[in-house]
Amino acid sequence: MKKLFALALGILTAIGGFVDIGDLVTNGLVGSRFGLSLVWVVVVGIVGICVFAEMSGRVAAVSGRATFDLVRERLGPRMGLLNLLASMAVTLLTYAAEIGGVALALQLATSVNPFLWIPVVGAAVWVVLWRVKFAVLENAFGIAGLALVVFAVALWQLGPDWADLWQQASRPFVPHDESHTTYFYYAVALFGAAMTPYEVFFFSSGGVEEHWEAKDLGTMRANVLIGFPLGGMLSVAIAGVATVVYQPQGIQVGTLGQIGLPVGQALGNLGLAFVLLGFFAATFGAACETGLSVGYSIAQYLGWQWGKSVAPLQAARFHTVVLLSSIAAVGLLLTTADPIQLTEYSVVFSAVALPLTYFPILVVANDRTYMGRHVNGRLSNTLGTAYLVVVLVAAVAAIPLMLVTKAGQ
Amino acid sequence: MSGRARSAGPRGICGLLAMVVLVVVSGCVAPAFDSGAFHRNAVHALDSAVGETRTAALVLRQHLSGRIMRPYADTVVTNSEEALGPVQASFGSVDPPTRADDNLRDDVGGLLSDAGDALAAARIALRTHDARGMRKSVGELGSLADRMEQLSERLS
Repeated sequence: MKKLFALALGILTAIGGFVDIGDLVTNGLVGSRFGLSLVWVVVVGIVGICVFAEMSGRVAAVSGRATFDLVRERLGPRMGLLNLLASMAVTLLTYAAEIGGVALALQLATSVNPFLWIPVVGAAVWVVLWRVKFAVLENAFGIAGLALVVFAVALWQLGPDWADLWQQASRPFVPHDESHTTYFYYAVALFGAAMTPYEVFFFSSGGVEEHWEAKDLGTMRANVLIGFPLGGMLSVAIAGVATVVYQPQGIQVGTLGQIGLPVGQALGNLGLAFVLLGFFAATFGAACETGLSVGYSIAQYLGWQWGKSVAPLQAARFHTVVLLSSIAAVGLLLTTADPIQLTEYSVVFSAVALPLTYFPILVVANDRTYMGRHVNGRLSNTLGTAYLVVVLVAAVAAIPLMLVTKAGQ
Repeated sequence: MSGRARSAGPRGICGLLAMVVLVVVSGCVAPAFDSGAFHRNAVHALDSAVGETRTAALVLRQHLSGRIMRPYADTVVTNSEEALGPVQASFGSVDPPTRADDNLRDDVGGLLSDAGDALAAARIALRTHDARGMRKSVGELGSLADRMEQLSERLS
């Protein structure tokens, strides 16, 4: 019974914790401009994150070490440093975007300017990272993030033409008023949002924090293979309500408020309350995950003591990195950078950094020295290799598409 | 070999800087080289403004029917008003390439300006709990959105 409860909790947390500011913004924006014609990208992204999260979770459970703890050892310091610099730049940008997202959610609830909230949110995230236990942090925000299920309820309540939505989703097309380059720019952005690098840093490091062992592989796989796809359905529901309400009116979504508005239209203030709780939990939870990911990666590369399960005095450098990255993220936002634009850039730059994140996972998961009999099987290797090709194409195309489309205009 | 490796460092940094500059510049509005480009800028500005005015009208309607709390509605309307500012500025900063385009500049500029005024009026009505003012704003915003959409369709 206890095991079943742990399994259910893990799955629910994975569903609620799947969506972050990148998914919220990108899916809302894409739904309003392209309808559901880009849902196939969400599906491709979810399968990809499942493949690599399972690999990195397996590495953590079998070796007792986080994937990126092994990257430097397995691929050498130069490759490790390149990996660290690229992924850290993107994760720090994402960290700032998540803090900005929390501030925007609080603005919607209070109408107080988000720039007044940003330092408060930054400090609150740091205090949570410093004081709150890992399991509490992960479960509380993951469960609260389930409030975003309200988007699926709202979609049903709006009474859309389901046949038309299915047609859009199953037969992708470029809307007549959009160009092919813009379509593929947003395809890359959606892919980057679904496969953000911090998700695997956090997942594998979290496995070590929670002392996963080989016997926990079943639970870990259930979390990934059930939780992530169901979480991905929330992303589709967000795009769905934007499609139904905004696309016919020619409204392009550009703010967090617009993303939640269709829920208000469908379900009134009660629905909006759930939206605000979901926005807050999803962005605050993801801010904690990205903040920790920065600390995890740097500490793992440099061989420092790390983790929330270690006394702060023994992991002082890890906690210092977390503190400094929190200050840097808040500082970046206080230059009056628009959190939504920051999010849009962060998901595209995520796509650029993807090969550097996922290639080492495939290498380590194939190394019998670490993995023993749990080394990658034929299916994992086939999927992993196929995804590396997709990831490489997305990474190469991201910046040229950004330039050609003037960042999706 | 090592000399080449050393000289690749600064080149790499220059390349990276150039890429960052390109990415930043990619967000800027292109100047109008000809009438076609000017018309495209006008359509882009009008479409953006239609989205902002329709959003504000939608929020006000929902707020008047008690479906959306005031802080949320206030934030969305304020965001729409703030989003229109850069649209007006970027369109206004591009000179018409020919005399024939002067009228278009006046028409689009006038509509954008009216949209800005209507959004400000909507925000004030919302913040002062002025239900009559909000209903009036819904009508004005809807009518402006229709006019901008018609002009955009004519230019497309």
